[in-house]
Amino acid sequence: MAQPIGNPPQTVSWSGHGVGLDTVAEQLHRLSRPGPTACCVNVLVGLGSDTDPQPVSSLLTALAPGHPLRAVLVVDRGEVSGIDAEVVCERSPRGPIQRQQVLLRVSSRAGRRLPSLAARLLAAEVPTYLWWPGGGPSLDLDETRRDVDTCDALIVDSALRDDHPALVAAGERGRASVADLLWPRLRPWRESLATFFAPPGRRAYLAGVERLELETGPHPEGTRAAALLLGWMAARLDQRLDAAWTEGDRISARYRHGGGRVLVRILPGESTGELRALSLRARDFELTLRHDDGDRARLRFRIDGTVDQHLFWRPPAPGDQLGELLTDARRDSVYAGALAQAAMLLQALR
Amino acid sequence: MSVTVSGRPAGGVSAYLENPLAGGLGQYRNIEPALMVIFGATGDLSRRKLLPALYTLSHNRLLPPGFLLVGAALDDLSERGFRELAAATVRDHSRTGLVDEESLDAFCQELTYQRVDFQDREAFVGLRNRLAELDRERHAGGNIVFYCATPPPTYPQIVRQLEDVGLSRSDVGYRRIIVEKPFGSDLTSAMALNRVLGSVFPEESVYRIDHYLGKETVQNIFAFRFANAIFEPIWNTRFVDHVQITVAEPIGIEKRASYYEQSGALRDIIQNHAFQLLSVIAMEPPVSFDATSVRDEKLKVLKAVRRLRDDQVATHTVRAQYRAGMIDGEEVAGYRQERGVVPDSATETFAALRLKVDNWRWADVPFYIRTGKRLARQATEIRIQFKRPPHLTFGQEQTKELEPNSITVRIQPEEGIALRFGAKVPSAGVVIRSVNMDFTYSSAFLVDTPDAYERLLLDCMVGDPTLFTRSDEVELAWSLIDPIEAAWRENRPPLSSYEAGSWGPEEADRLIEADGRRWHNQ
Repeated sequence: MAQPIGNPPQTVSWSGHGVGLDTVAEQLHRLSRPGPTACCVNVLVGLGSDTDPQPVSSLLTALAPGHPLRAVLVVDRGEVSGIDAEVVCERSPRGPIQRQQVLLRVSSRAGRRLPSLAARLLAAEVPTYLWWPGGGPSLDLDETRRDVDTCDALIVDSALRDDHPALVAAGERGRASVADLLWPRLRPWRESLATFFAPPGRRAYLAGVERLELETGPHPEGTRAAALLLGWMAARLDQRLDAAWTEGDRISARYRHGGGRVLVRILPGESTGELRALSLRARDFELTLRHDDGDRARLRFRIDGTVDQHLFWRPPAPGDQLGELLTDARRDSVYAGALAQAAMLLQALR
Repeated sequence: MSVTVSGRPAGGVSAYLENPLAGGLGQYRNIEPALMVIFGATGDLSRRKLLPALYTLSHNRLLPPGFLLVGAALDDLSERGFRELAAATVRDHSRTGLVDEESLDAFCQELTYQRVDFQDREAFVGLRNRLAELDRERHAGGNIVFYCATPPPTYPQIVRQLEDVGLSRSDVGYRRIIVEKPFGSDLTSAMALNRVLGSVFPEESVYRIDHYLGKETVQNIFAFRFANAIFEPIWNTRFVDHVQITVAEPIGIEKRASYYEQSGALRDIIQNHAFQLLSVIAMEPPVSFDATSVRDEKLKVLKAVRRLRDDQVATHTVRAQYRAGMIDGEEVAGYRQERGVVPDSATETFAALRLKVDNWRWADVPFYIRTGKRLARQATEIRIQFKRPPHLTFGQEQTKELEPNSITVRIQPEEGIALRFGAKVPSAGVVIRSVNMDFTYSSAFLVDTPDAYERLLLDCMVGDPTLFTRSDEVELAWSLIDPIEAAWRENRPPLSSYEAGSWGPEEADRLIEADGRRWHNQ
């Protein structure tokens, strides 16, 4: 994530009880003056009644130097009517306002239609990301889909969801794209594999892979992470799911490509983290990529002889994951392909 | 549970010809393993720029697995000694300020050192053997980048030695060489250098660094011009009155007297940096942003620059040298009083040119270029000044404070773009005054941009020479400079002087004022 430069940012704030949105908008305007405001994105966050907004607020604070933003956090406070609001404007050491944040505490009824509630508080001409950190309402509901489609992107964490087909549908049919926090978490795996196969001479081995094994963290998060990584490989390598089955806690699947088949095993473990290791085996080639903890991973491969290499790993911190998604609100076709394949596998295992 | 899913057969070996896994990850995630050799690894460029840039790339996981840097220099250093030197230099010069010690330690594990005397063939044999060993260990696929971070006179020697010991070519993997400017000191020497480089490495393997092109803000000129539809229609002789290119520095020659005495402002800045800016600002839209298309269009600009005839040099150019003066409230010595400068030196520390670009787009639009040391402030910028409106609706009195519209592209400092236009002053009457619509990268993105060397080192490893200078570009630039140098050697125009801390000599003002224009000095 971007490092703050020089002096710490200056913050000004306001809060009010039982206020109207006009007042909140006025205060936001007042605190943002004088001087320029930098704003690349709106982030609209819906938080359940038992959710502390502080972690999200801290995340947005850390993100702001690289992604100057306007955030509207809406906290559900059950049946209590009226609006309590807090407005914070944070000025970058470089001059412009880098974070404008509005926290609204509203009744469940008022907060149900998040985008319309917050519409007048959002900055114009920049994309709006909608995010329910706790999971949010079902995407199968028409009203949710309509809300999502008033925004440019829906932030989700597919490791925490079991509605992958609905995510695929939302991404395919709706106006908003799906921005998945799991996708940047898989980036080190994707990058390491892509980099390994960068030399043209190594790419032929991909066609010969017969077995693929993934060691994961606990089910279901680990399985979903494995499914998305597998989905990515299957989509990129033009493989199609042939069959999938479970044996105890082990998951197996068979993919078909051209004239060949790949047998896949997903082995859930108890250790923390979503993915631990990935192995590819072909007749004349083997590769194992293992990340235990920290900033290093081990790559072992066999082509002629066996080679061990250490890789920088640096799993993206939550701020980096969100920051990566906020960089581009457009639909990512590589992700869409991966998600569709993951949904197919997870659906097959139901 | 077992479920069968129907699927369509597809794929096959052809699907793997391109790296299918690299899709969506960007070209920098598709870099093959490589070894890099820096000749002059203990020198100033390596310590201030290259090692910190490589550390940052390593920290950001942009170096490929298997990457290893071999420091090669004359110093008697152990591997450990070189790693310690690298760690210290990264801490001192890291762009990001704060250094992640764990990352730094990991980066240093990817460094080794080989003492190399550039005149000693045996040293290169030793280097070759060492690289072969490392290539096997690292599975680097025979890929090697050689970086000449050494004084330019050593380039031919290093290149010949590489050829002699068989390091310049390989049946497997690539061999690329990076050389730093200056690429020669005139057309003859540039051609000689290109001949040597070309006789050993194919042109596509020669990466000539002019770090200006690696700057984000210079690359943003491409984006500004070719990713927006609203500027191109007015980017021509019909709307543009003239263009000013300024590369101004408040610093003196620091410890570079021996180099600068030979070079001067014309060769040091105009021949390369300023001409790069000229090419980028004046080029036609390339068909695509690939190396050949971009460099072809840049080359066409230099081809279209009208060569100054011998009798025009005195009237179209200015050369000057700084006298003692004040910079930032402190007295500074004149050029001839600088250490290492001869007392009667005729080397120019300021140069200004008036050029024309003879093509359809720029016919009759003058390009004023100036550069200098010890000027009032640091400013690298391009100002496109537009013509006045054909008719002044508001009358002379109401618009007396109105300047013509302009777009200023600031390269450094305060990288950004300013559009100057007229606005009504809030009052009962009608008074129009010029105002700025100012965009700065730092306020839009609020983060530091990557250093030019980070980008260029990666581009070399990925095999993208778009932001490097091609041999024909270098030679064409020298062919424009040589006639000026020839006249200057005959004291035409005479060397003038300017006070340190000023914006240059009066002659430079007269050069542009003779055309009814003036320099943008804000």
